[in-house]
Amino acid sequence: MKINGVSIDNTFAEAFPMKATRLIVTAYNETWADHAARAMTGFATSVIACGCEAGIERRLKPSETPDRRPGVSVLLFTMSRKEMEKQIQNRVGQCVLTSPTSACFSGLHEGTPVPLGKNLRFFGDGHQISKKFGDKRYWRVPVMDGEFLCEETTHVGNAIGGGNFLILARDQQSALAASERAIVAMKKVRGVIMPFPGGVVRSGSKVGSKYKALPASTNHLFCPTLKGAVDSELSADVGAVLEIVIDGLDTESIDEATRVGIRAACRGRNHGVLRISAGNYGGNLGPYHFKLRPILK
Amino acid sequence: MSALCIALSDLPVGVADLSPLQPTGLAEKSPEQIRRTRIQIGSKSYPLQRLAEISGEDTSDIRISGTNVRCTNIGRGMASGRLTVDADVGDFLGAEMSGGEIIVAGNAANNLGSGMRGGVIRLDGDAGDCVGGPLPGATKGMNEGAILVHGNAGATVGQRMRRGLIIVDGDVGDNCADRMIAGTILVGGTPGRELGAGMRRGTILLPRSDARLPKHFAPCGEFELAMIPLLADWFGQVSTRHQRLIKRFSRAARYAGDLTYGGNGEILIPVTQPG
Repeated sequence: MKINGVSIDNTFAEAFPMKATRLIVTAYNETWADHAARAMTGFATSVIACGCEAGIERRLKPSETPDRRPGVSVLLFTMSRKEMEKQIQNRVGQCVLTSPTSACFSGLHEGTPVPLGKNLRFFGDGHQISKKFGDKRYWRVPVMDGEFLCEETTHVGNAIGGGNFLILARDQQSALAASERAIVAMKKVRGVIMPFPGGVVRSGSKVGSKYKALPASTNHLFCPTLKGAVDSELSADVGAVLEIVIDGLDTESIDEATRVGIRAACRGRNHGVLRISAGNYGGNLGPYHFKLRPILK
Repeated sequence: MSALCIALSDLPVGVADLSPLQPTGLAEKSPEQIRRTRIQIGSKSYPLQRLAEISGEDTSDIRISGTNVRCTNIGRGMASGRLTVDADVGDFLGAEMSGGEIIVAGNAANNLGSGMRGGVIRLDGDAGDCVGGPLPGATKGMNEGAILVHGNAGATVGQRMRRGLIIVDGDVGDNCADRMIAGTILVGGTPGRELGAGMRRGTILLPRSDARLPKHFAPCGEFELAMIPLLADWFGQVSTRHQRLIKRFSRAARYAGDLTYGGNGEILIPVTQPG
């Protein structure tokens, strides 16, 4: 199978079950909503060492947010509900509550309820006020610029982490340009995030290492500088490989993100992209298999 | 199916307990059973068919006419459906109700919505004392639901109110929000004396900026509170007119109290926007 001259491997991305929630962060204007959301989703590229994977899903117009202010929709993915509770408390507590004019709401209304403002309210030192509108409770915590408004709970649902595809290109510039095209297209898909810097990861990993302390290490079969030294997956003309990792709320959204991402990566003339592949572990570890060719048909 | 219409006429003198005449109480009854429903008036009970003309069969939509201030407990304990009354009603309208909607075209006596746990009561006329307050002997007032009084209300509106919403378009009597535990009260007119006395938590909204404020509330300044749009949406579920009114609170002066009791309650007054 080829798209615009780019060979699509007959392979699949292997993904894993995760827990996810969506939070709506709002503020006085887009700039401050963005500051809060970026701080909250910082250092959240991989559960391996960050505790969670998080990213900005999309910007929200005032008409789309509960308090009619500009907002940002954020997705958080963890390996367990308990870890999610910890990550929410730390990240919202340290990055959203602290951000001027911010407010935080649940963006997911199905699944298991977990505390959002329920624990953060204690920052109010007894001056916090709850308001219950219908079946939703909100906490108003007095802070130095007014009040921090926060919904009491959010919901955690089942999700999928680790969807991916690899862009094999002639050189680093071509791989980077293709990745950027892919990310621009994928950011329009709802229910997914690409948690790595700029949505792209250059240090694709394999499970395990020769060093006992490391759970993962470089995916040496895809490292171009080792082509001659190991049983490489790369042909002689491949000079750089970049990976796009996708976490999503369901398989359909990951399918869609993969589809639009690969098509965008292969778009244009003299793009320098030679091959599209995907990372997997032989299909034995993750229950979700995103097969590239059927997705692109 | 057409609404079940109960046209009361020539009621015997005495306090009538009309609590059986509501959707929850009549839902499982046949037309014959409905006609035989016993209504207590004073010390005697009467079959409904002796007191009223009955037509229609939809027990989820009941319309009662011919009531007066001696007709008590209308819609008491109601859990679903709609109850419409086209005249004045007595005490305990919608008391302990947990769902559904009651619409009254006339005035209501005391204890409207006492101990309410859900649903909506809309009253076109005036209400007596203790709207949304506790039932006699209880320590907490209404716990959920909404009460709209388009006229005036008497004393102790929202007394010991735990949760929910009370809107009074007109004036309210003394001791409104007395020992209020939480919830939201909007007073469109002028409040009486001792507003919010003993208030622990909750919000009183006063759209009229000339309202007389109690001394036991401290001015905290003017703010744009992020919760106001959510409050407006919540009001919108009950009344779009009041939803628009709440938007005037987008910038509001906040008064905290009752400080005499270390309360966390608040009174909000809208600040007129320039232009």
